[in-house]
Amino acid sequence: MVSRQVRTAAVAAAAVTVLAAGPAGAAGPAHRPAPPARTVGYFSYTPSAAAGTVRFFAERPLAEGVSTRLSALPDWARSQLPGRSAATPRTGTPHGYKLRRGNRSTDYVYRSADVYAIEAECGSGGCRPVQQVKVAIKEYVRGRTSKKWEITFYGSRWSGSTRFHLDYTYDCGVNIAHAPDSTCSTWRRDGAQGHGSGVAVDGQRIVKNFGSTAVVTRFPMVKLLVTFADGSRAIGDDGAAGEKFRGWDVCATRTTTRLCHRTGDGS
Amino acid sequence: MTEWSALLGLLDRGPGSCVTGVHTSLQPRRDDGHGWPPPSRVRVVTRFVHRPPGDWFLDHGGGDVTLDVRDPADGDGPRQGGQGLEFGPLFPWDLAPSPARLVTPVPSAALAGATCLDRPVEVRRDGRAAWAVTLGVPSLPQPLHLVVDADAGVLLSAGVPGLGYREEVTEVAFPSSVADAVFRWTDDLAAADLAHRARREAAAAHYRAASLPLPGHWPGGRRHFTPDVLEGDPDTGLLAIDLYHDGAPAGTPEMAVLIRQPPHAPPFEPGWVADPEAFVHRWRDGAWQWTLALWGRPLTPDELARVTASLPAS
Repeated sequence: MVSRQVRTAAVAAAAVTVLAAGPAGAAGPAHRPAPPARTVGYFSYTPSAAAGTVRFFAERPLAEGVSTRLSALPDWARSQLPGRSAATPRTGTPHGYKLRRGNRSTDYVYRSADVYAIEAECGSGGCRPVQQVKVAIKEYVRGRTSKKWEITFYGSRWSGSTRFHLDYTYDCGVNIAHAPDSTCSTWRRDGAQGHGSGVAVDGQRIVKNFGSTAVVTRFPMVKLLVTFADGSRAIGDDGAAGEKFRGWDVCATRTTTRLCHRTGDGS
Repeated sequence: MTEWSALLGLLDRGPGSCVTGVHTSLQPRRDDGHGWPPPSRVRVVTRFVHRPPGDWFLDHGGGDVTLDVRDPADGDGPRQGGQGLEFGPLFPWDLAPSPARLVTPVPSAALAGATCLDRPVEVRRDGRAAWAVTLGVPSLPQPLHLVVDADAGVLLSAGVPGLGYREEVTEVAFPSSVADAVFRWTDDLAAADLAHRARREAAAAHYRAASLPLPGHWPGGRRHFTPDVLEGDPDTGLLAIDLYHDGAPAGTPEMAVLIRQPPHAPPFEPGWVADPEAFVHRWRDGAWQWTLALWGRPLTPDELARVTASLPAS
C-alpha cells in the first residue's frame, strides 16, 4: 500500500514539466483539456495538471508572496519533482508514527505541534505555496481508573483555498522496552479498540479504549490525510500520503492512568 | 499478646492463597495551601481478585476494568508498578491506592523502617480476628495505623487519620483457587464494555440535543470553551460536562469538568476528577448538587460565587 502510493506520486510528478512559479491555484497548460471534476469526501475538485507541483507535510509553512529555495524543502518534497531520486522514507516504530514535538500541558493532555500540509509549485526560481493547511492532534487521557483516551483532530486553512478534506486513521501502540513496538489489539486481547478510520473535521473528537492491562505503556497513533482543493494529497515524511502522529506515552498503574513523565518519540 | 516483629513476619509470609474482596480508598484532596477549597476526600471503590504471586483482576465499576496478569512471554524480570505499602515524598497526594498495597504489602521500605509506637491490640474487623498497631514511619509526618489480619498475612486497613488517608479491604475471602478465565478479557467483559459505551453515547446524544447548563461567567472568558457531554444519565439527571477550555489565558484553570447530580447521590467523579491533585468545589441549589473540578488552580471564592450565580436556573 505504501509503496503504491509513493510510486503513484512519482509517476504523477514525472508526467509534468516544471513551470515557473505562478499564482496560487494555477491550472495546467492552456492547450490541455480541463480534467473532469471529481468528488472526494464533502467537496468536488478539478484535478490540477500543474507541472512541478509538490505536496508535502512540514513543520513550518512556506512564506507567502516569496519564493522558497528548493533546497529548503524536505527530501520527501523534492523527490516528487522530475529527475529527483526517491527520498529514503523516515519511518520510526511502529510504522513511521513519530511524536511531532508539542506540549504536555498537564498530566492528562498532550497537544502536538502544528504541522503544515503544503501544496507548492516549484520552478527555477524556487517554490511558492498554492494551498497550505495547518493540522495537529490533541491526546486527552480521561485518567484515574478509566482506560479511555480522547483524540481531537485539528485542521484549518493556513493559506490558499479554503477547500480541503481531512481524513484520519487511528490505532493504539504498545511501547515494549527493548523490543519492537506493537499495536494494542494485536499484542493482547484486553479490550483495546484497534484500527479505525473516517472523515475528520476540525475539532472532532474520537474516544477509544486503549486496553485494560496495567503496567504497560501505550500511545495513540493517528494519521491525518489532507486532500487539497485540486484532489491531490500531501505526502508525509515516510513517503506515503498523510502525516503520522505518535501520541504521548500513557502510564497506567492498577488504579491510576496518566501521561507518562517522559515519552518515546518513535525515532 | 504479640509483637510488631511477629506481625511483620506474618505479612512477609503473605496469604498463600487467592484473595477476593472490596478495596476502598480515601485520600484528601489538594488545597491551595490556605485551606481552599474546603477539605474533601476522594473515595474510590474497587472489587478485586488476586492470585499469587502477581495476578490481579480489578473492577472499578462503570465499565472500567484492570487486568494485571503475568504472561509467560514476559519472562521472569521484576514487575513494575510497586506492590508494597510505600509512601512518597508528596504524601498524601503522590500515592495510587490499590488493593495490592494491603494484600501484598511487603517488601516495603516504609514498614521495614517503622517503629512500633504502642503494643498491638486485638480487634475484630469485618468479622475477622485482627491486630491493630500504630507505627512511626520516617517518611510520614504522623503515625500510621494498621490493622493486620490475625491469620491471613494481609492488611485489612492502613491509614493516617490526622491526614485523611485510609485504605481498607472488606468482604475478604480466601478461595483456594480462581479460574484462569477471571484474569482474561472475556466475551462477557467485551459485551459489558460495549453496553457501557452504548449507554454513555446515548446519554451524551440525549444531552447534546438539549441546552447544556453552562456558566455564563468564567475567569478569562468563555471564548475558549468547547463544552461536551462526558457522562450522563437522563433517568436521574446526572450530567458531567467537560468544558475543554484549551488555550485559556495563563493563570486560569487548565482543565475543568462540571457535574450535576441529584442532591443525595454519592459524588460522581469520573476520570481525573478522582485525582486528589484536582481542585474540587461543591455546592447545592434547590434541585441539584454540583461539582466543579479544576486542574492547575481552584477558583477564588469571588470567582466561584460569580460562576455559580451565572448558571442557568434549573
